[in-house]
Amino acid sequence: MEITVPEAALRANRTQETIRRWIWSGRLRSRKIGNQHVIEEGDLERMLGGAEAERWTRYLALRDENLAGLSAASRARLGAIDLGAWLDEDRDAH
Amino acid sequence: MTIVADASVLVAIATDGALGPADASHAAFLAARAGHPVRCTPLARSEALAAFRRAAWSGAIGEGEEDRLLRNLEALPIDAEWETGDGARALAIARRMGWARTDDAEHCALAERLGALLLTCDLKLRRSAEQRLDYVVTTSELVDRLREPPTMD
Repeated sequence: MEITVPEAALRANRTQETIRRWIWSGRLRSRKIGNQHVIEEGDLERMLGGAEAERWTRYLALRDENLAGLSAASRARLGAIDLGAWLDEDRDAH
Repeated sequence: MTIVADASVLVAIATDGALGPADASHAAFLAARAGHPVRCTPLARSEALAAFRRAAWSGAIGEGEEDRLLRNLEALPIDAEWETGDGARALAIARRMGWARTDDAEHCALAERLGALLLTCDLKLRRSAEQRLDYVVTTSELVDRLREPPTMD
């Protein structure tokens, strides 16, 4: 399915200007209908997915580095917690 | 399709499944890689932080170790979103579901506004949403959906 620049901006949670910049720079394919650019939804998803996957990969590495400093005993005790019950109790305590 | 993560998912990811199911990070990563943005409510971040503090307060982790978990929470590539109208939507959901509180309803309200799936590790919420809030999915359900081959339409 093809979508317009405003629709792509909403979908990507970016400004229309950013979407146009991606098109002009060749990062995002589009075709023109009259004076309007349209984008194949799959192309946008692939582009966003690549950027997001990179962001997540960087995050997971940072997270693991942080967690390496957590003691094994702490990790084991965390595993024994019923988080759902905690969230409910915290809400009731407010 | 956008994915809204609730507090249980943020906690599971930030602790690499030490507190919550191990597949939460995998589910969020698969969603992001497939181009599905992942969002949360500001409340989800507050609830996650409260859980980390409680873990330290109760002695489950060493005092100060919650700072590490906070760093993992703050660095999460999941943006918080909230706008006028979401509160009214949360109240309507709580009324419809017969819930006394609006905590879960806030996450549902954001998911409804964005036309998103609500991702949770909270099986109680998943059961309570059964049939009436069909956009609520567990991490393993999302992983299964993202692994489904594309349809030929």
